[in-house]
Amino acid sequence: MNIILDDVNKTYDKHVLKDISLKVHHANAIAIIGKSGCGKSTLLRLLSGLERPDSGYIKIDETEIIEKNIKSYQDEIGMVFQQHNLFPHLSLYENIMFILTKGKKINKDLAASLSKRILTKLHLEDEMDKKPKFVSGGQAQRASIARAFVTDPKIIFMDEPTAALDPILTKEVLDTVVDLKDTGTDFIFVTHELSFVSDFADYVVFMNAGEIIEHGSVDILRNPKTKDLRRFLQNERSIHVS
Amino acid sequence: MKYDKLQVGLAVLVFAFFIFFIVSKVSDILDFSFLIENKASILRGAFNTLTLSLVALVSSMVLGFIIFLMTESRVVFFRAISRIYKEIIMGTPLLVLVFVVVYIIGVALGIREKVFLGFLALTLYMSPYMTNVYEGAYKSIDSNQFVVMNFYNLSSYNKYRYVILPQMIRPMVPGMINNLSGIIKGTSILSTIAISEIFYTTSVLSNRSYRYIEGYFLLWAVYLFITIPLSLLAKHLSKRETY
Repeated sequence: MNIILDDVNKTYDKHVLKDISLKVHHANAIAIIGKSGCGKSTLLRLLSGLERPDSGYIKIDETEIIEKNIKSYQDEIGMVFQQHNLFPHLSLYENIMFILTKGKKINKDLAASLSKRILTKLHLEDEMDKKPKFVSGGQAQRASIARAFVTDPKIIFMDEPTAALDPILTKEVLDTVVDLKDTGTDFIFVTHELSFVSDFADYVVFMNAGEIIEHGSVDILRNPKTKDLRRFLQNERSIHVS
Repeated sequence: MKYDKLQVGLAVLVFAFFIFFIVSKVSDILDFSFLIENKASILRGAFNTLTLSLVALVSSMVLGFIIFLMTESRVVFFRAISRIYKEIIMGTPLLVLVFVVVYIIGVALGIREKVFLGFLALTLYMSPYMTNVYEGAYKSIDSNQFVVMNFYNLSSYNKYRYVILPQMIRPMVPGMINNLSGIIKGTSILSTIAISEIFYTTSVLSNRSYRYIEGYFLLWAVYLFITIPLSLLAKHLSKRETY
């Protein structure tokens, strides 16, 4: 995938993204990292079209992310949120069926076979008839990955998909994502799991205080050029060691 | 924990003692025979109260839902209509609203059917409270679900039919039952326009025999007999698990 960002700004109560510019060519998995509150989730929301920038230009592959393109663009991408965000009154299977039949307008028979296939692929065949409340947080998050993946998206966006999970469930979910890497889908994700970034991403964007401080291949995690990234990596590693 | 039930029992006894005390003070002058003689018309009055209440419940649920949809509309005009309507109705006592509907709106529109106008007044009065129940249930749905629904470009019909309404039903039920209880009590106001529900029927019987105390005792008992089980049911349902 290719990404072009040019002077992108976003303000809520404070200026969250400040004149962000970036060009990435031929990346398959882009990780956005940085401290909490640095603007990385906001950037992901702008890239996925969930929100619009106050100013600036965003283009992903051939699509400029502007109002008139949002619906067709979002039709071709998938989204995994911090919480699983499954509909609580529907089973895991019904959650996926609902999106396929009512959102994507796929006929019931095909939707049923796609739903069962993806849930089986993500090892949820025994849980598919349970409601989200009756499965573990990791299983629910895997089901939400299944929901994002079942539509065969070009890109999957993941906003700290393991933020609400303990370390064991985090590993379970990240292993699932790794299994999906060779399916031809590209990934853009925000995470604090640096070991996952090292193993999975081929491009890393480091943000601090609403700005992109450093970006490049995953090597920047081993050889950071800026003091900010160096300090961030030291802090993250000390948190994980302790 | 062990003494909780004992304390509840004691609280019930306090009220039972109070009622017994009141009854004992007036027992020598009480004579319920006229009520027993007219039990058919009293039962008819009670039946009318329940029927009117249930019909008003359904119609106020429908009107309340329309107001709720207007409240959630993207169109400012609809939101303004619903807000003005709620402010006017909720600021008007039921007794005044009944008179306004019967003697002003009814006259203006040439409608003379008092039962219909009484029912209309009850419906109008309860509809904003129904809207509040819908709003409370709607707000109990996690906002992230709306993000997901918008992301997958679901139509408003599909959002409401398959996601929003099924999740609204459970949190809505206790509020609806409380509103039904409110409607049943509200029907007593309709006696002022001579609709023969339980309050009116009992008042007429009391007037005829000059036995007001017995009449009011009966009314008190009938209203409590209907509303307390409803209130307990609402409390029970509100404690049930949510999603």
